[in-house]
Amino acid sequence: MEENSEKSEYIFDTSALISLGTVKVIDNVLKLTKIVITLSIIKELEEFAKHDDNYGKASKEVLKYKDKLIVKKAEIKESIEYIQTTDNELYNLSKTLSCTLITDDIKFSRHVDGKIETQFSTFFLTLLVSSKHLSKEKALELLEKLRDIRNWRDNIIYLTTKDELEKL
Amino acid sequence: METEQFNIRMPKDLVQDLDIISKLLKVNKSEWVKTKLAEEVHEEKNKLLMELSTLYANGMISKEKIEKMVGKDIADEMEFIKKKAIESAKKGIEIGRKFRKK
Repeated sequence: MEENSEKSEYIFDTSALISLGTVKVIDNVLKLTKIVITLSIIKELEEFAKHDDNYGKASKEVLKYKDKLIVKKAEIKESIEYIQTTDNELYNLSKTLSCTLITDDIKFSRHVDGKIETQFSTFFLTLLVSSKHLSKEKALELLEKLRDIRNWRDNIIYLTTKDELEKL
Repeated sequence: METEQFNIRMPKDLVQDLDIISKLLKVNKSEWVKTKLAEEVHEEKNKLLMELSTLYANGMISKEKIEKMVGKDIADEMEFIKKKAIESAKKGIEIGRKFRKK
């Protein structure tokens, strides 16, 4: 296992953390990489955690690891139109640190496309399988849990990721 | 919100039924119909786009065909999502190899 100082950093938004919290792989991700967030993300998670719905449960799961999350300040030097302040903070942090941003927010991802590197949270599902920290079968099971059967956008992510996992 | 006039002719029986609903629920007839219609349209649109997105994700329909059916915006979005999903999966696999457990 890598020493903490040698681990790669990835910046996460709330949507990606909710996804990974839903399938309870935050601890596995932390074994391999550093999770970098802003204070706004902590506040969003704490707000969600007040409720007992799926988002609330996922947020509580993420917040169990609060002490291991790296909170960094983000100065907004460049503002992208049509996205929230929280997302502009993450965008600027990603630029400053030259770090990949993990987000499942498609609108956000499209607005920053070509400006910074973004990946969906499914990046970590395939990473964990490829690194042999998760079996393919388990990853497919977790992907099924993430699937939102009423959302056509998520449907494309689910089917495409499933296809790539099955090829492994 | 921008609005557009949309006139339809309805069977008399149906109009009478709407009158009953409107009186019992104490709601405006037009407003009730608009709300119900919006719910149905949203549901049907999602269902149809789910089917279309499945065909697209599985490579059974092209982006060009989707564009002709539902317009450029949705076609562009579907293309972006699929490309990003492939990229995320493949990148994860590539990076994961470096972390392989011995």
